[in-house]
Amino acid sequence: MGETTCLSFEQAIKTDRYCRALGDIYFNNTAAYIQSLFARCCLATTPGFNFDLRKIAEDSSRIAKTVLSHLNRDELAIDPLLVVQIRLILMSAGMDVAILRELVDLIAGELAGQGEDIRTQGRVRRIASLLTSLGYVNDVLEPPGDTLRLLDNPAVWLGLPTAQLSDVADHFFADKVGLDDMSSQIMSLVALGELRNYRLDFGCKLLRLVFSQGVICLEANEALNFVALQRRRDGGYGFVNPFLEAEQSEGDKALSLHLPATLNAVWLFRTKALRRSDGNLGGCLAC
Amino acid sequence: MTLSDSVPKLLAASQEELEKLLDEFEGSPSLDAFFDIGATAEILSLDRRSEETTPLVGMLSNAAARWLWSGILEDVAFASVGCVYHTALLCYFAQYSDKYHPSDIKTIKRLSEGRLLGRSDLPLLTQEVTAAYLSRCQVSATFGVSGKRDLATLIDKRALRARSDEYDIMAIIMCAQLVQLGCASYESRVRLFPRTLLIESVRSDNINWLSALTFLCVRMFGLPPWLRSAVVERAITHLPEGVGLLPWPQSDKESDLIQRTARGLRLRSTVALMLCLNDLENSDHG
Repeated sequence: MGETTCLSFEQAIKTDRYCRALGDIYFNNTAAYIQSLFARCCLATTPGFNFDLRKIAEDSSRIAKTVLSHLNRDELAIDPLLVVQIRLILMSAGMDVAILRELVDLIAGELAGQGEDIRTQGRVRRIASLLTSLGYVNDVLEPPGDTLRLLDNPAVWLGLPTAQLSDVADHFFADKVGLDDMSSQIMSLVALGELRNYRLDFGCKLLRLVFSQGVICLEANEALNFVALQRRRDGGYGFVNPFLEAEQSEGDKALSLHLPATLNAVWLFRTKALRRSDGNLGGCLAC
Repeated sequence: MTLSDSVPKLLAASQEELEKLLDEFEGSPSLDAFFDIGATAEILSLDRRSEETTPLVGMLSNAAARWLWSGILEDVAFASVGCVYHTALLCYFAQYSDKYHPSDIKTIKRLSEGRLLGRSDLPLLTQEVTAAYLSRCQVSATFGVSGKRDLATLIDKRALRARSDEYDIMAIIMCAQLVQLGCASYESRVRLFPRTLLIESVRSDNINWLSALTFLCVRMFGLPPWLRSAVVERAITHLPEGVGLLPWPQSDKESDLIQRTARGLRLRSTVALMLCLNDLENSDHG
């Protein structure tokens, strides 16, 4: 099983520059800006890199202000998980960005106002769990009974549709429980299949779960290799099929493929590096 | 007029056409344009830098260097195994351009070394398996040893290539044949690829692949218990009620590289499933 070198220091600098450039170009696209910001957070706090977080804190303040002053925030389609993760990463570095805190307060308030059917969903529980780590008094509700049975039965995961398996992964993240050998192998093999079919976001999510809370196996390392090799010369990630997507502009490709692929790749590399640096098996907070 | 008098005219026409072709590909990449450029590159690669071809080689090299630098060649090579040979040829030409820098080849290098760039493994496997079967009929069909190529790794690393089609199933079947004929001992080293494809077939409910891959895993490459139960569950839902074959295969898995009709695949899969049902049932009860 070959050890994977995901990202060198020089490559990380280049990718950080790439993400910053995309963020500058698409500042008016709030969802994309937050993606680029979170990717930069991941790079900055990957063990061994330790980039200066001050500029990221400034930028997070700027974007939080934009979101809070927007008349219809739902239109912005921001991902609350990423916002909360950014706050968590900055707080872990001792940076309390006041206006970002306001935005997260708002997310916490909205979450608390949701009904039980929403608050028992994996992704919502995951956000609630992160909010708890940030000191919010926020009940992380138990998953429904049929979901609990599903979580205990890894062999069934193979036949689950993508949305349901993604929910399973979120519950594991939320509860920070470890994956055993078999669960890790299943998740890694499914991840590899998703990656080969170029569903990078889902594949990377499952892999992050294995690298943060599971048993690292050959399958996980091979899948990680696949992601690492998606690196482009400009520091971004993901290859386009020029014969299928010729009608897309460069900008479209950046937003629909390269930025999400880059975010998912650096998030995964950070997860792996954190696991290596502290041997964490209980689930890292920002994985 | 001598034959050589025509050279300038042919050169002018070729230059004009190649320029158009290169612009066309750069403006809107298509497989047709790519292979047309490839066809030209093939013949130019064999020329010993004659005066006549210098302008053509220059145009091609500059375009190739531009595409290598901008990442188009990486996208093309990653998109399809069928494009890899011509991508390699264009990378070779790119080196002759003033615009080429050695670092431009880095991404292709990583993709190739990481085995994410497809290579056609089937010709080599076909030679090995053909020779193995013919040797059982007392026909010598080997042209010497095939070298130190590690076929097991070659096949297993196919798991890192994007997308699969029938070609991949055939490659795994050939591996299994070599194992069965005692020509290789890959069974312990080819594991990731069949297992990855089997899981894909479970998740996409592709009974055609599921049957063939389950048979191969049960008999040769190993089937872990947790995967066995998922396979059994899927197989049961597709078993015909009366006398009949398994359903028609999914059409998006057809390969451009090998000819396989749906009829043959349906029959193949039915036989494969039939052959491993006993193993599956016994181990389920065990």
